[in-house]
Amino acid sequence: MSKQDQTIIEEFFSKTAQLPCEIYLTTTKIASTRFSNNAITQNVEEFTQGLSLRILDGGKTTRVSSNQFSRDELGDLYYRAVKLNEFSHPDEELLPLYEDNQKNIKTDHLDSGESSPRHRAELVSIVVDKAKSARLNAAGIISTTESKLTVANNRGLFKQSLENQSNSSVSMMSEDGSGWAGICTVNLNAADIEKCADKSISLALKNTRQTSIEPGEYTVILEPAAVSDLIRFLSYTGFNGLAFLEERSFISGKLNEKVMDEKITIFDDIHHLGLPLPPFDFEGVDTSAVTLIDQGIAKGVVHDRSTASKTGGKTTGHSLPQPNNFGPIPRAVIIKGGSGDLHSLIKSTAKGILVTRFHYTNLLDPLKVTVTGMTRDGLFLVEQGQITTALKNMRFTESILKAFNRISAIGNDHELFWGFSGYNYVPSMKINNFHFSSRTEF
Amino acid sequence: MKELTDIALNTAQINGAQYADIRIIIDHRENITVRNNRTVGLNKIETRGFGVRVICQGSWGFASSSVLNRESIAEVTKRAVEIAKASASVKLEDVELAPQPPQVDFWQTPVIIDPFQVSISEKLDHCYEVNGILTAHSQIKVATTSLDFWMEHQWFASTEGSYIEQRLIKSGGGCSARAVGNHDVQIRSYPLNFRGQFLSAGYEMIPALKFAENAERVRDEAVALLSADECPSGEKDLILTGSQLYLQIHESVGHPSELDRVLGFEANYAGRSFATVDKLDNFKYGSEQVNLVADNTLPQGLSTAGYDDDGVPAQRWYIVKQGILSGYMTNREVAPLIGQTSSRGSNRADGFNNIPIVRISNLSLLPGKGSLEDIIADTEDGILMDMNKSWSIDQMRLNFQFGVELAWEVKKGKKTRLLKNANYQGTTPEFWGNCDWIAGPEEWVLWGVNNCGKGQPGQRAEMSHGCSPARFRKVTVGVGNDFLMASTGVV
Repeated sequence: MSKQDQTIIEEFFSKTAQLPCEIYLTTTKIASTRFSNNAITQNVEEFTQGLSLRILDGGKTTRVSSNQFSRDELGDLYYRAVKLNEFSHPDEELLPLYEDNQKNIKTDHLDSGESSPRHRAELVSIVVDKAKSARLNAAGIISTTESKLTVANNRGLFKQSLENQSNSSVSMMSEDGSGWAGICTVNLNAADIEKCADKSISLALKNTRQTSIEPGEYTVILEPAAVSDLIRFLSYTGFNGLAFLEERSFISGKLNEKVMDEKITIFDDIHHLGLPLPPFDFEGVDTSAVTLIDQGIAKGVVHDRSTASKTGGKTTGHSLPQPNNFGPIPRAVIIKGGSGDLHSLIKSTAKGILVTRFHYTNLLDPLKVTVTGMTRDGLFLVEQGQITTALKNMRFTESILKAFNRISAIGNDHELFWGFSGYNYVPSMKINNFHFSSRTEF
Repeated sequence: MKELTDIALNTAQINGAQYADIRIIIDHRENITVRNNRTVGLNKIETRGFGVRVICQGSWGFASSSVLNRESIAEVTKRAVEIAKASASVKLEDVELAPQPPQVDFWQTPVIIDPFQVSISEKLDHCYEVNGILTAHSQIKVATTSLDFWMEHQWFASTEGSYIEQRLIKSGGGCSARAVGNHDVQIRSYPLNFRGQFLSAGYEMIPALKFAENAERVRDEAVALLSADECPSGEKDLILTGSQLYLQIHESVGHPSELDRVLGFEANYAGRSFATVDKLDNFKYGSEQVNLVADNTLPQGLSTAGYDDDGVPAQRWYIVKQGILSGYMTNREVAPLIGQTSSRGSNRADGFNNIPIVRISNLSLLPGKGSLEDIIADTEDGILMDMNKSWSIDQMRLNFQFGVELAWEVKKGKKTRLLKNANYQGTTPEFWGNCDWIAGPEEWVLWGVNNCGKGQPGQRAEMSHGCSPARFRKVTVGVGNDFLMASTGVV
């Protein structure tokens, strides 16, 4: 945010001091290059900004938003918000704005690396050359995002954060199979993209001449990408303070009880590894680390000020824009590692199935955390500690909660993925008796 | 706006573009959400901006900005050209657009009542009335009522001479009740899940939905589901009401018929399609009764407009005709790649800031004859499933599994008992091939999808799917219910 923008907000607050006002100002620059069939097919850059004003008056609240930012626009939003709020209904649960006089302007993570269209095309060219050498067909995306978020109110709060992130992934396809690899980092760099290309080529070359197996229970070794997909459902349905209070979470009524295998410890910590996330939530509260599961025991959920007030506890700084229908959501879910890596999990398996990733997973039951989904881009039979055969894709239908009670081993080979509303940093896992419910034709 | 669109088109050509278009969009939205008798959403959103798309050196470039002025348009257009030149360094062949005569026109959604002229007070009162009914039971832990309205005013201009202004209006609303008890959570929604039913229509559609008249039933059904029997596992005849069948159409016919998917453009993300080009006009997609028609001229359809974001006029065509794969959703870029000489007009972008991509058009299952009651009366051993709750399908769009909010066991032509946690699984051509009865036009309803996600960066689109209830023989139901009841693990 420029000094001029900050001045506009401060002037606005000084004029509206009698009425509690909250402002979000966002700017986002996205640059992404997509490719398929060994050629660039989509190449875009977008710049958007957002201005959102919420007022509280007479026990009522209203939000109006725009994507323009100027002194006049802010004044116009204020006028419209006041008018709209007349029609709003009083809300007995409405909390006053969060008061925090400590200005917090986070300016690290500014070095995004080069992300010009030319540079992204050069990276695609590297991937495509590798694909052609391996007689494969490459598809993928190379993308960077720069985002700024300011959360401020006229009760002293002024917090701002600047982040960069790069999300890229590569698929390699042969006549009868495919492989995939993704990378989620702060900065775009060639070495990461090359690593993605190499991994997806390796998988695609192995994932060929697949055979079918019968649906049923199998020991599975889940690569981190597959674990990340499953953990999303525990996260937004289970570790959500509002779902917890409304008895819709698998943790409801089970705090300090054993709900998973003791090998599982899960925590939420945005400061872990310096993840590119604002250090505060949409109420302006600094986000704390929260232990969610400790050696299989349910220890906590994340809160905003509203859910925290109902439990008599403190907010953990995980609020979405208030008020909202969803409740607080974890921002950086981390599964504590065990020992070894994917290779050692495979080596210790007499018979099992290696799942590289899942596709189109969806929740069936929030209390049992029952999820269904497909495998994708590499499913392999493991026999006597070695990958022996590529398998046709399977559908699983499984209670993640029950599956996490059948953990046989956890690796220490974490990878970072973009999750439901933040990041997942998870290792590979081995689970016994994982339920595949049907198969598909490829 | 012509002055602004000319800046983009001239700048693009001066900088070497063979083709350029610009879309300027001013968007107004109003979202109201009442949850447990609290207003948790009273939002008005107004945005504006533009996106410029160019072909230069045979490749695409796109750039967009929310800063809508002459200088920004010139600068962003130059950037789009620069991006296209970078794209050209990794290309197979030059992009060739299907021919399209230039269009100069104005089109707008016909509405009876402009939703933005109806007072917020009336809308909120409506939501509170319904929410009050929904929450009047101790086991309802979450009740929501929502109304959404948006108007997208867009100007499209291209270097081929098109200048099209459109004013598209959409309205929607819904309610749901989530009951908790007996170690279970169950939900009922009305008239549809995902914030309800949406149409390209004005406020007149909201009273017609009769929320208040249905709220008590919705609430009581959610509570009743808590003590309902689990859907049995096995092979049954499956009867789907429209509130589930619409999503079956969407996922297993709509997406696989997007030609960009078929050609591999989405291979890294959403996936590809089993409905490959060699199958066109010869592949048995379903039984002879199955006719699926794409139609962007359909009154009240969510993708209904005068023109798509290529400036191609709205059309009606078959995707599946008498059970045979007969067409694809196309745009000007992909249609020529399979030898077609014109686009079907399925190119749409989410807002000003995204590049248009192939999207599902309104896609409807043509009605047959008879009623849902007739189908039930004719079914010996089946399950009737209503209202989508979960969905999943593989990346080739073959193996799918859907879950529903509520089901009934059907024995010897009668509904016998209420069932919960019902789902079914199948493979697309086999499933549609087993469709043996589609109810008649009297029960045909146009259902709106207001949240279809596709592409990277992610884009949302809206479309509608009309259908009557239908029956599918020998379908696997209750997937996992037997296993999950028996498997070990603390829950």
